[in-house]
Amino acid sequence: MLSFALKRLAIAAPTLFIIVSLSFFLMHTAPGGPFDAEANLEPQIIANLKAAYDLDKPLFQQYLIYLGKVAQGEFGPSIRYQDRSVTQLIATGLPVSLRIGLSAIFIAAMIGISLGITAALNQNKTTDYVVMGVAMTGIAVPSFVLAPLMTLIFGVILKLLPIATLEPGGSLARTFPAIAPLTPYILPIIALAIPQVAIISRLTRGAMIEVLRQNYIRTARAKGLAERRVVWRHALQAGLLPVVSYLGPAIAGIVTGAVVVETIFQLPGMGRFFVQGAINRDYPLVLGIVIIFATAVIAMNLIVDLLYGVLDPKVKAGD
Amino acid sequence: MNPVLTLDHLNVSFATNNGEVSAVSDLSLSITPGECVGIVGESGSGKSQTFLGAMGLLANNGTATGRVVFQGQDLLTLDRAALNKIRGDRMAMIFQDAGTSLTPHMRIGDQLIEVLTTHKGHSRQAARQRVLEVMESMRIPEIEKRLTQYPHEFSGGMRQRVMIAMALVCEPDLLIADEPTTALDVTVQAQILNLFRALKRHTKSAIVLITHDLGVVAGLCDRVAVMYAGRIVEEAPVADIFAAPKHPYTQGLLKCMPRLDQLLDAELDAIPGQPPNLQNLPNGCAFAERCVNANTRCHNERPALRELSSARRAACHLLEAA
Ligand SMILES: Nc1ncnc2c1ncn2[C@@H]1O[C@H](COP(=O)(O)OP(=O)(O)O)[C@@H](O)[C@H]1O
Ligand code: SF4
Ligand SMILES: [Mg+2]
Repeated sequence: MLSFALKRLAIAAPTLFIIVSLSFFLMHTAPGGPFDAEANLEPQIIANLKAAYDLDKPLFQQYLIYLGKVAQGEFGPSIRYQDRSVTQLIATGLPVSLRIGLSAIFIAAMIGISLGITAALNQNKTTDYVVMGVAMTGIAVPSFVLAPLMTLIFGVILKLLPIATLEPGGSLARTFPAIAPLTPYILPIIALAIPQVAIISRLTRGAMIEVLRQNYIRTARAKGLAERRVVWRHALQAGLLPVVSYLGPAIAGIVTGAVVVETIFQLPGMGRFFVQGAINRDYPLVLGIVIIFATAVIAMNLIVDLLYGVLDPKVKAGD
Repeated sequence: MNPVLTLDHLNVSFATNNGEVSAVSDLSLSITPGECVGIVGESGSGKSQTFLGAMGLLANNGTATGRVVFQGQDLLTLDRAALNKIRGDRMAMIFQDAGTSLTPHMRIGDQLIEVLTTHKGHSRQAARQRVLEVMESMRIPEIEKRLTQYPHEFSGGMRQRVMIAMALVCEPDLLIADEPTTALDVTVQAQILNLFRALKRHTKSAIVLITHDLGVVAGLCDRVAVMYAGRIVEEAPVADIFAAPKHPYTQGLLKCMPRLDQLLDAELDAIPGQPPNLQNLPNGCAFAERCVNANTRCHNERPALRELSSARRAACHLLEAA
């Protein structure tokens, strides 16, 4: 297991390097530059600004300079947020994104798995159709539709929850002061979780139905075990394997989802910095966030692979 | 002696997209305590579904009707909880494919121990003790270590021994073994059959041995029921079946049994033709299409399973006169 983890870490470094390099050149070949909006500035001032960010140097040299900084764990100054470094921006944005993203994926996994099992145990019965019908709707309605809709209903009309702020607010926070600090996060988390609930419940249902058909489930029943034990002890672990392998990409999906959701809800997370950075050609900011996202996705995939080895004794991590 | 199990007009059918499949039709059979009964027939003749139906283990699309009386209780009328008290405890089943019949992500020990903790209320420690005992009688080496391993770390033969041990830990009154040796290679088959022989001597449990191979039945069973297209066509003490088979299908099966003077791989599939389609069974004798003795009556009228003597039954028009 340890050597497997080390091997994966060794692959992670070149992977990151390629991602950084590709992003760097893609970013710089995109038309426009950081100071296009300031067209009314003197050409001399713009030239000075460019020099300050090394943008006057040949692209390849800029690339080498950037790699050198990253190697020392530095992402450089932001161009758009002028008095702050990219590291500082990430330090304020990352906790917000993590809180929303991880809560969403955790809640989605719990609910999705429960729904999937319920549907599988009632295959082709009413419960199954209802659960899966709701799930299909969840897949069909994307976050960028769901999020404004929820804002409208729960924020604007019902005034239950605060909108577009990290400050607690809304009638829910006043009625239950204990959960007030959570209120700004509720809508973004729901918007991010719902499509994932839909996908995870479908995956779980399919996998559980497949597992419940296996010969070893028949053996477990022949032994006279209670249905509860058959499901939880004999079926679930194998039924969860596809869900676990999905969680790696799902977390990557949450990252892109965060970009949309944070923009819609106007939350100062990584996603919003990323969008702002991209619009303003804030090269260091965008690249810094790409590196953080890529690292997170690689790390999550590694964790998922290790977890897979724990769930399935046949998979010896390292083979 | 009261039978331990009586199948009374048992039917098993499956709902499929192309109509109903009758896997078992109007099957009646009794098993006496302690005896060993062989169930023989070609693949697809309904051997497995008969006993899966009796144990409440049919696939979702299957239904069993009739009566399955086990020690005085009709299993088909019991709810899940009541049925679970019986199966695994007083009535146990072993399956053909031991490779896929054990839960891959559970340690072997846990899979054995849970049978005892479920039925006998044993503590884990007491259950483990009993499991060790039974594993030992199954001649499984290095038992302590084996208990902590997973199924994929076992050979096919060892897995089947584990399955047998699992069925025996509660000392059932009836053990149903569905082709316990079919998936194994020849030497391992012989070892497992030896285990069954020892089992027959040392336990008081009745055994139903399902097999497509008459040879397996020979040294082991007291009585044989031959199945064809979901029905019993002949039933007799094992010696009589070999000495004087009455039903043309049984005669055909015996003719194509491998003999010592034949090469192992010699062509044995001697009865020409195919069994009938279970979705559309003929009105007459199901074997008529393949029977050398078939006449018009055979094609129009189904022969009843009739008593030939106190211990023998067969279903064939030719035997009526006798
Ligand atoms: N779930 C199912 N749906 C439809 N037909 C089935 C199902 N399970 C078994 N059958 C049919 O029942 C028949 C008898 O099967 P089985 O009892 O397993 O035969 P065998 O004598 O080889 O054990 C087979 O022809 C099979 O196609
Ligand atoms: S009833 Fe007729 S067809 Fe059927 S086995 Fe007897 S002789 Fe053959
Ligand atoms: Mg079978």
